[in-house]
Amino acid sequence: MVLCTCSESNSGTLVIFGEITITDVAELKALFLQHLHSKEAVQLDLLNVTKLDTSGVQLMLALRRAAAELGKPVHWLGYSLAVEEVLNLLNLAEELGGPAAVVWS
Amino acid sequence: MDLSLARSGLVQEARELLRDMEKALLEIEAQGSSPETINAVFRAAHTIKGSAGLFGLTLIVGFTQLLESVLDLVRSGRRAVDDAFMTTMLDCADYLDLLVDAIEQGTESVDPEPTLRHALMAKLRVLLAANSISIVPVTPTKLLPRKGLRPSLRSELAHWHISLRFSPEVMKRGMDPLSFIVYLRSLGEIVYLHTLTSDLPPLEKLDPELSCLGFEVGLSTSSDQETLERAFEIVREESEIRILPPRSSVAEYLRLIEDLPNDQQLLGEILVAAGALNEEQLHEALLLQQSLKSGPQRLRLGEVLVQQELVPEKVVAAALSKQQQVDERKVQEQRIVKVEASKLDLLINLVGELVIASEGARTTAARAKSTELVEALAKMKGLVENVRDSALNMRMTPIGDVFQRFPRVVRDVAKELDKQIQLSISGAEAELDKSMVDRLADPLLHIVRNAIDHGIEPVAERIARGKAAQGNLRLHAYHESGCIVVEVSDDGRGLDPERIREKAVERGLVAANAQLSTGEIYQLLFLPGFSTASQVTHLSGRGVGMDVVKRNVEQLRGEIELESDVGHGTTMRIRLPLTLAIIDGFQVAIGRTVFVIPLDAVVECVDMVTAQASQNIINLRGSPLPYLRLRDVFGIAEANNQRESLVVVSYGQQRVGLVVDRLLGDSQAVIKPLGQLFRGIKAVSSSTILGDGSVALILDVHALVATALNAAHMGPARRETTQLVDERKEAS
Amino acid sequence: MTQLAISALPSGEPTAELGSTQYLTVLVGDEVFALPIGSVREVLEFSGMTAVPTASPVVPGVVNLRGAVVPVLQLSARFGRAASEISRRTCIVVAEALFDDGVQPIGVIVDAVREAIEVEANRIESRPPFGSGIRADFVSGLLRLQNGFVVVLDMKNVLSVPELEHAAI
Repeated sequence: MVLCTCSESNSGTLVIFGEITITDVAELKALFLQHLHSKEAVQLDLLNVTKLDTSGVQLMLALRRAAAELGKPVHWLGYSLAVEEVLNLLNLAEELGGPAAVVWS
Repeated sequence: MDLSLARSGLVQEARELLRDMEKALLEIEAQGSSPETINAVFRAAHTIKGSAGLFGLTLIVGFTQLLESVLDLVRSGRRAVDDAFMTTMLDCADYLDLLVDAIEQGTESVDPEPTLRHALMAKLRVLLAANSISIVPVTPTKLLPRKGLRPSLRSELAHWHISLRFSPEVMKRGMDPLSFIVYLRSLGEIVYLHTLTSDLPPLEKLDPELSCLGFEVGLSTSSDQETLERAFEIVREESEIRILPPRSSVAEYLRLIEDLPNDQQLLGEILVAAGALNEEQLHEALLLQQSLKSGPQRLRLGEVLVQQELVPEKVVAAALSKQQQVDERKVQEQRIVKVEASKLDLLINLVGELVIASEGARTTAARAKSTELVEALAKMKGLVENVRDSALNMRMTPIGDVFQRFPRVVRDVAKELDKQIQLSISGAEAELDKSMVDRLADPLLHIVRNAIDHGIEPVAERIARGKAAQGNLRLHAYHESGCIVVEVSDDGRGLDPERIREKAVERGLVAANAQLSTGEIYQLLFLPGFSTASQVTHLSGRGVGMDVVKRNVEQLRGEIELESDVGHGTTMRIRLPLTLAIIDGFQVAIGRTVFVIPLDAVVECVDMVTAQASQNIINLRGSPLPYLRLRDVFGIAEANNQRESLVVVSYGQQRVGLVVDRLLGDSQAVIKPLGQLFRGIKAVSSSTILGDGSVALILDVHALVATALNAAHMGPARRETTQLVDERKEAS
Repeated sequence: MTQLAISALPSGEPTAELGSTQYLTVLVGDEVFALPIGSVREVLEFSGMTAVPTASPVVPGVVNLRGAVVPVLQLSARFGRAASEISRRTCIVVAEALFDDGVQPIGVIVDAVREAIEVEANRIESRPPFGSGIRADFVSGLLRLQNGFVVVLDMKNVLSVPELEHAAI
């Protein structure tokens, strides 16, 4: 059973459905890297993420940092409640930057 | 958190806690409540809740939360304990047991008894409402911006400060740091939380399975240090977990900073912002430390402070002594090591192989006729024996482990059958092999149940018979002749041979006109088909007869005896070998076959001068000794040219002699069961493999003693005794 | 204990009905019997047995099989015949039986082991044997070979543990 799917929308946004947990992070990392290097800005839609664990949080943090080093912005187009709860708990909302207005290219 | 990796540990812990809880509850019921016992119950429930919470086992957490609140009422003196209350508590403990079973079986998300849960929770709520206590909901955490912590926190730090640096491997073991934080949140209010990302690797190098985040948490809670520490028990070893109580001394906070050099600046900021210490103190101490770095002695930050009289020495001493306590506790905890049963079994097997190999080496050395070698191997034998004893000892557990469930059983059954029973237990510290302990439980349970059911009379009948209203049931264990004996005695009706006989005839188990001794009549109780189907044991839910009990005991290579006095009581006695693994043996030979006699049954060996076929008793230093000539008993025909020997063996108080062809000396024997096909063989109990690979048979001393005694009593009217001319002591 | 050239044979039921099946032929007294290969774990030369006193002649003792104490069955006694002398051709065929605690090995003493043969399915007949005086339920069929018939033993019944346990002394 696939717990996590990641697809690219027409506007170049990475949309993630399902869980971002230790079992999914390896694959997601590869996708994120690809995305990061091929686009000018990283756009992620996390409105449909059902679960986020420490590994997932690390992934998000590492992505943010990597983007910053390349001078590229990261836009989070939406958090699900699950994501919001974890980020609040760990006090990372500011570090990662909150959901921005939807950006359509 | 990943339950699959931690499941068995969690189940074991929970079961132990539930046992503690039950024990305390029964103590309260019997002797009234005391702060210690109430606390014990509370602690057990509390800890179970905590551990369950880590794994999100909502069924348990929800239930224990409610239970805990009720227990808190008792603990704080707002509610008294009465009979109905105790029964409810015990029922709750039972229900928790079911929930733990569900975890064990992997069905933890399904409630095994929803109706029971509903009923119990309703009862608990009623108990709570009666005291009109409202449960305060946990406040949600607020989003705190990282910079500019609220100035109001700069005042003295009234919260717990918890510093978490998980081992990178923690997620590989199925644990998620996030769960710990969620759990902390459930204990109170998280006043501040900082996630430290300094160890975060670049994205390409990020390993999904390694944890790299640190956390500094300020927690406002009424939980105690023990609770907080327990939460991190699982990861304590490889992770850096620091829990600082509210208003810890400044030196401690400084120490925290010092010990986590990676985030020193940040930590300092956090702690200052939290109000643990003020900027000045931090600044001063750090400066001092810097300047002292090049000096002859690098002082700890705490010491630095004291030197500068920034913190009174008392406070530092207090902080240090606290550390010492923690260290001591660690040492205490290390005194008990949990070992998987399979690892112990492997060790025992290897030791068994070692014993056999050692014997083989000794045999070869003897043949090689090298004194040095023989001496060296004799020394090795001594060491191997020590290893063997230590290994076997590791498997020994006190029989109290089995006994401990009986107070509850007796209480329940007595209540159910409306009888009054006083249970006394002695000898709980007698030890036996761990593998036997579990298999002893069921037979004992059934015997106890029988004693209460059929043995002890109802109150009215007892009084009519001039007995005390309360019946006595005694569980007694002791060691004897290399065995462990467990007695279950009651002062009830006793066994009536006539009635037993009648019942047996009724069931067609014995002919109506058969002549039976009392002992033989008692044995009828153990025949399958004696107990009726209507005697279904409530405890196991299926019909268990005494025949099954006997079989269970025999499978443990044990025996079961009955003693009774009609009208006065019954004693049932189970006798089991101490271990199923390795024994010290004395080898003898008859014909070509080697036999082993358990060494602790051997008294002495003497030469046998003459043996007349009809003799059953010999004169040993003036006293008569019944004896058996084993070659006759076993029907061994091969000729023997040597002088025979007599081995005097004992069983309990009795001694008999066994005549054999040759004495071979002592050795260790790894016991190998003969198997089902030889179950009926009386004189031989099991076998062992000798150093040369051949199989030797281990004699059943009890059976042989019985046979010898029988032969002596039923021998010819004229008993001739043989005078022994030569005597040679060869006991080891 | 030394092993003969016949190495440990694979487990599993012989392929029934289709194609061919393998058997091990043995000698008991002067009669030949066939054992389905699937029932045979290994074959060992007989190098002594420890007789258990007062045991039945059907299961007279035990042997050491690589550190395990294994009971041995005297096949001739199981058939109700006199035991033959131990010769240098006597072997122990290690088979398996279902005990209370699961499937365990059991040694079967035969006077000689002849060979492993492969037989087409159509050579197996179920006609009851005549004259051999063996219990009907010990026989699962007859093998028609070039020089006559050979009784195929029903090992499950021959090695029935409840029966062996209560074998008369």
